[in-house]
Amino acid sequence: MLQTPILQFEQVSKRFGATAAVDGVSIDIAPGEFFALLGPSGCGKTTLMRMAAGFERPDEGRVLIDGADATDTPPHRRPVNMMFQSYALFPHMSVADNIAFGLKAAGSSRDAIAARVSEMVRLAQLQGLEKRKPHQLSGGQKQRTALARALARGTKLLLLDEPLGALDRKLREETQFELMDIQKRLGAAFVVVTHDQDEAMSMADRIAVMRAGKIEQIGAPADIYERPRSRYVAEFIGEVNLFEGKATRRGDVLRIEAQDGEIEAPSREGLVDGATLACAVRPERIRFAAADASGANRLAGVVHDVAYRGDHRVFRVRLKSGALARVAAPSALPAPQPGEAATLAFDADACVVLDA
Amino acid sequence: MPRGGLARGRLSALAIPYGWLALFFLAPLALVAKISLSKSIIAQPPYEPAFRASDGLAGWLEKARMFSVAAYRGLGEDPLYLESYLSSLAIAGVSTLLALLVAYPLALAIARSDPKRRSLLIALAVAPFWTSFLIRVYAWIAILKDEGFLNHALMALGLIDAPLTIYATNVAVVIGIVYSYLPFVVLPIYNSLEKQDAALREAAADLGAGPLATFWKVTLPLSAPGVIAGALLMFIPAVGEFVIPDLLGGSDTIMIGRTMWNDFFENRDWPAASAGAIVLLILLVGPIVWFERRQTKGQGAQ
Amino acid sequence: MTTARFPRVATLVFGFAFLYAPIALLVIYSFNASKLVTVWAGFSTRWYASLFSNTALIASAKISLQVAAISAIIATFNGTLAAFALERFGAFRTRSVFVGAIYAPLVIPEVILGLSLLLIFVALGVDRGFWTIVAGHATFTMCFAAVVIRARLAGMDRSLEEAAMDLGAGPVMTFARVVLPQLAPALVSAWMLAFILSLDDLVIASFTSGPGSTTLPMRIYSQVRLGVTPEINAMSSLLLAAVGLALLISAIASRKRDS
Repeated sequence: MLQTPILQFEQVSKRFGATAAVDGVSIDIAPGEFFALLGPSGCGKTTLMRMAAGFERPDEGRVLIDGADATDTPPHRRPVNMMFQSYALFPHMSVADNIAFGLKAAGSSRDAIAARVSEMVRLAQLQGLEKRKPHQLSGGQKQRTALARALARGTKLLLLDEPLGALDRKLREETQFELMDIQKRLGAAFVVVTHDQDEAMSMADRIAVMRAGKIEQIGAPADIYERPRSRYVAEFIGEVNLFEGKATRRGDVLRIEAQDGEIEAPSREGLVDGATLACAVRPERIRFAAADASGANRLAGVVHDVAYRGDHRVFRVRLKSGALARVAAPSALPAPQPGEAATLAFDADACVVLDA
Repeated sequence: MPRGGLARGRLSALAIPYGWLALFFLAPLALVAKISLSKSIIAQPPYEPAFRASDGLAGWLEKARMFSVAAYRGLGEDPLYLESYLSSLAIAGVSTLLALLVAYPLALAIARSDPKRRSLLIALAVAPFWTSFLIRVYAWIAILKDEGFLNHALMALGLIDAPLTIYATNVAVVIGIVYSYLPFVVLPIYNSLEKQDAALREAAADLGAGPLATFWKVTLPLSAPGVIAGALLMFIPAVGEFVIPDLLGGSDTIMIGRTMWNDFFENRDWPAASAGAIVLLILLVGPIVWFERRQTKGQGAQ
Repeated sequence: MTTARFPRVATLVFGFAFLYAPIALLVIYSFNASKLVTVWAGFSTRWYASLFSNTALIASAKISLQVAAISAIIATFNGTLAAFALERFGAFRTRSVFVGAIYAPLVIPEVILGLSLLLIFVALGVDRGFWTIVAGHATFTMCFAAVVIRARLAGMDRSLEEAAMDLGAGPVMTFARVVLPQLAPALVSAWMLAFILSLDDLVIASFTSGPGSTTLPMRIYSQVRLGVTPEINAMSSLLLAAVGLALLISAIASRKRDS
């Protein structure tokens, strides 16, 4: 191990009544890392984060912060700060007082507090708003105040619960970059909880995809997108076409007898000859081919409809089996019209083989 | 935190109000139950205790056998108590119905007013609650008396020739109860009406329902929780009302609160009054429990 | 929002006339020169003058104000703790008994509450007087206070408390700097409600008072039973004015706070 992880979950579990919100999860998060916990609502990501902050106690397992067991440390004694989904700004305090709260709790001197507050105000671009009350702020200003308050104590680990959830779309994109910028400048580890895959993919160094209290896959964004390890991950992150069928190995090549045609995919160790497998292909890896092209990875169909997305278009193509395949193609390229016949093609290495 | 256990700080925070209520609410009620099982004697206090701590266990068992249900049997045999219960329920019931008939249109009118004026209007409707109950009841004496404002006005308008006798009758009691408890009924109905999404009525109209059908099929059913809450908030205390029947009613107005008061202060029959209280409590706890069940069920369904 | 205007306005006019006409008549006739309450004989403030020379009435008013102020403080304190227990402590043994004890006094007829309090004071051998009235009033008003405070507590964002703890504030600082400031308006209204309920109560005071501790409602009640007099109208008008003024001030204060 190169350095002590800033945050470690060791086989933590938490039950609420009969349901296991978190089920035997282990994660190590490195200092300075931007980490995302991604999953649909109810998958346990928020519970996991609240265990790091100290608001929930795991039924089993340990939580370590900077190498020290913090499982039984109450929230106010943990060197961790959190940015709440609702922001939880104290409504009776000004922006400056909100930011100063944690410093006062730590017993800093008056001068030190004033200096740190103005530093944070600058960092979060809140100049001129110091005396305002939270209800006099816009959504973006509230979000930045919450961030400044959580960062004021100079934590090495910041937890962010759906940090962009309450912002409108345009502001969200800008704020993503701001967050990444601040994170890099401070060098603190950020752990973000989100249900938005775009948000996780664009900001995080690593993503943990969660499902029903368990970790489904951990990896860099490109890793998770290009090489999903399960159907769940493939379908949760981005759009995907799945072709299922009986698989046979031919050396380096795997052939899948799908209903819509024969699929060729790269083989890998551990695949059982004759098993039913699925080939997952991203829409942008599929292209339109000449009608007379034949062979593997050529699927015939009829264009059902087209959605224009500016730089690219998304086609839905009705295949022989009745299934609709998605194809994303640059708008500049020629393409068939709805109702016209089309042949879809993709390279073997565009296909990720998954258990059906 | 394990279920059933509390941290020490919380335990002491709970102990203070709990202890207070135990001493000044639960223990007194238990005592009422106990005294209702005692025999009435002429003494101070005017009852012979059914249990005494100094009796010891044996003494308690002995006394348990001699439990006097005389007070309860007395209730059953005493036509005054039976009549008191029945007429209290009747007067409170009629008053509650009338109050709903007055409160519902008022609450509706407020809820459909300009949103800017709504909070002022509902505050005005509830404001009388903050003023003295006794004074508000007293104000009606001058209105309802034979030579009071109402008879003056009706005679001046030529609607009646001779003054109506309303004061010192059950009618006056009903008017007094409706008036005094009206804010209690208006507020919950208003709250449930105000919460209703105006789009629901628009949807009903869009689907072809006229204003009346919309009211019967959408507005009224959705406000049912408010109506029930308002009715219970009024009915239960009204059954045991003392001040209103005493000030506005006649000598023939019999309500249980007044009967118990008289047994206590004038006849000094404490066991009878206590037994009366216990029976009344049981009569009233029923609807509360029913309402509570309904509430929790409603929450579960949401 | 398009309800026919006329029936709505007519309902409002009739409704508010019903609510306020009796009070208005009472106030108007407190300025009546005649001893008769229902026949107008010219404007006069003589009943107010005679009111201030009625020492028994003034002594009762003083007792009522003291009882109300003290019992409201106890009720607000107890009600706050009870509200926290109901809203924040989760499940504990005999919680349902506690919940019942908080909610039952809101609806149980006052005669029963008064009667049971009298019996316990007799059984404990406590001399009835000022402090027994305070105890009785503090008991039933604490339930109203608990309901008011609990409602505010339920509406409070719990993540505010979590945020305070997360920023390093211990339980005491969290309560003092975050919870209490937000609860303050509810504490004020709970105290006011308890104060007014106590000031207004006749039944429980009658059961729990002793010689020398006659409250204002008890005094008014015994006079009313003897007949309607302009002096009581004057007394009532003063009470109404005081309550009206308090309501106005709190309304203006809350409007200021909101804006």
